[in-house]
Amino acid sequence: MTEEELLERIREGKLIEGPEYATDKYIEGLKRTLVVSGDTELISAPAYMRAARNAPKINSYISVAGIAQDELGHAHIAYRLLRDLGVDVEELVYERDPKDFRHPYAFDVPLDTWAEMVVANGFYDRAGFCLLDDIFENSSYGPWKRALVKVEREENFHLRHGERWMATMAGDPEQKKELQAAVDWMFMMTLEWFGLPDSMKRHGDQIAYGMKGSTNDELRQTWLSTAVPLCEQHEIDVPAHYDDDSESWVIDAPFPCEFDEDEKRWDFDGGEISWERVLERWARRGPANEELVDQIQRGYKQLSKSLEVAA
Amino acid sequence: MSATIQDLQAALAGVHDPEYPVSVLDMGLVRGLAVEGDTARVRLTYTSMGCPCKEMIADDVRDALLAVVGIERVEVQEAFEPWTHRDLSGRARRTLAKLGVA
Amino acid sequence: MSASESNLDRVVPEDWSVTDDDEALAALVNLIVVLADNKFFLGRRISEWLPGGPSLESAVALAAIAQEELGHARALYPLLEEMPLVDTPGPLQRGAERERKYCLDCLAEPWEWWAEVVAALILVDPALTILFRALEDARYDDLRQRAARVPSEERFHRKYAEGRVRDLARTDQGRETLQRRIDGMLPEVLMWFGPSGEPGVAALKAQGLINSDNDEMRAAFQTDVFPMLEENGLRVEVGELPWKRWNNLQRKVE
Repeated sequence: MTEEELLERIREGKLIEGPEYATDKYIEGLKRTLVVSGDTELISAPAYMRAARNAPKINSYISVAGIAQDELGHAHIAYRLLRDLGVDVEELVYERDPKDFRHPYAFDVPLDTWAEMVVANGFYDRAGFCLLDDIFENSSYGPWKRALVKVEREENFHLRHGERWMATMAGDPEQKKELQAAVDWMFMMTLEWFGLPDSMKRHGDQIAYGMKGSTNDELRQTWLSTAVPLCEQHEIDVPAHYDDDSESWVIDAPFPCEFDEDEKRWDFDGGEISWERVLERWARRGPANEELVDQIQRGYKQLSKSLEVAA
Repeated sequence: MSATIQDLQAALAGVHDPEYPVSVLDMGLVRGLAVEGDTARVRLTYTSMGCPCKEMIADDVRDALLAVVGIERVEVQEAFEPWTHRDLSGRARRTLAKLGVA
Repeated sequence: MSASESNLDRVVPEDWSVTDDDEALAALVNLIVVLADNKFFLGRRISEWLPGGPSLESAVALAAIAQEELGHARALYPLLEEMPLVDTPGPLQRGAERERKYCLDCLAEPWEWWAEVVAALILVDPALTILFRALEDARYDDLRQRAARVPSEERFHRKYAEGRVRDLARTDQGRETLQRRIDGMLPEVLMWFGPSGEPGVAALKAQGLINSDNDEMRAAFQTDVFPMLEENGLRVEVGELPWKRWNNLQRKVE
């Protein structure tokens, strides 16, 4: 099959059912997208369990364990599709260097408090939902599209969990302060998640191939359109507003911006920085990167390398 | 005018499981329903004792019953009764099969 | 279980009709908090390994198991508030509410090794299930109903645990690793059923609140678990149990 024939099929709205109906270029692009998706779901499990240590009740701890179970299941779906495309998934998941994981930098900043946990449900799972929903609506790859039906239902529970807890905490003056502190760094962090602005990134191929339907800036707008009203409803301050003239959401802070990862604070006074600086920070990975990947890999490594016997 | 059991059932038909588009009635979670004056009493079981959505389901049920005209108080009780796939209604099974989860 | 809690000031509500025997009541309170705390910390320990099972299927299963263990604890704690005694231990929510924990010593700290997870899944979890089974026809409805649902959920935990024992036992090194953990946990688990003829359990039995005595439960556990371990080349001989180090109130080895 030639690139032209493939693009024609996709334009006609036909789904690609396997590598034999696509070109190498398509499959390579698909694999990259699946790795990002699988890694993101996977890393959220140890990240959330870390924050759950501060869950206020047994019920809330169980809810986070349930959410982590869903995320692991979603990761499993993406990796299974990769395995069907000939990727050695065991090596990919359990033997990869932590720095080579492709999840967003946001998850490399450790979640410590319960407020951060519920804002992660409210913000990060919402970002994941925006991205997956776009793939679900627009993906040309049949096996993934079908698998995403279940994923979307479950992510819906995670979002509601975050929203309900944010509402509860916003009703108590002390807890509201903790919530605001979490939102202060996590809001901009989620905006960064959607990646380079459209002015710097060409989406032509990805969209033509049906890897996604919307551009980074469009997805950022989609996220803002529900995340900002959620915060406003509970009188939580966020640096963004809706601009009637341009009919779009406007970010009221320097973006992108320098981030102090130890203090979890954005350096708004330092003004806007270049995306190259952001890409450098992403490439270095963040403080929790090794810890979280070790949480995933430790059982496999102990089992396969008989580490305990040696210890 | 006081509410009837039918009113309560109609309200619960609109309460979905947080993860699936299936009502708590079709999921087989509602194990008892009673109305006495302005008080509704409901006994719920969950698909497992470790159900992560337990609180959310109980709150959704409470909110839905409080919205019924004539109901001022709702008592939600956990039934601790076993739940199996046989407790799903035919409608629930069809919906879940379509989603590829049952 | 233990009747050694002092100051058993009774505040019997009118509708409390489970038992009027002081020793049985004290043992019942102890039984509930011991089961709940062990489920609580077993669930917490497993959940710490939740993303770290040696395969993705394993990780998903551990997540489900952790939720159910914690769910069993969640179901039991409210019973403590029904007890017609003052000074009953309170429920755990975060895990640090009270100094005194009523769980096995092997559940007290996070596990560093995968073999510890597997050993606990094949020893501790089945031991707790034996006790839940012994409550099957307890003359206390609220406890019996909760206890009755536990063994059916545990079937999946057991299937998973046996699979992981086989994974480890497949190689000499893996088997040796698991053996070391079993040697460490097994004496405490066997002692957990209590010394022969323990007065608290005898009182519970006399009141129809439990259907087996200490030795019967211990024997049921051995029959349930030992053959499977031996088939996989694991040794289950234990020498004399260190009863001198046994804390009968918190039911753990010190």
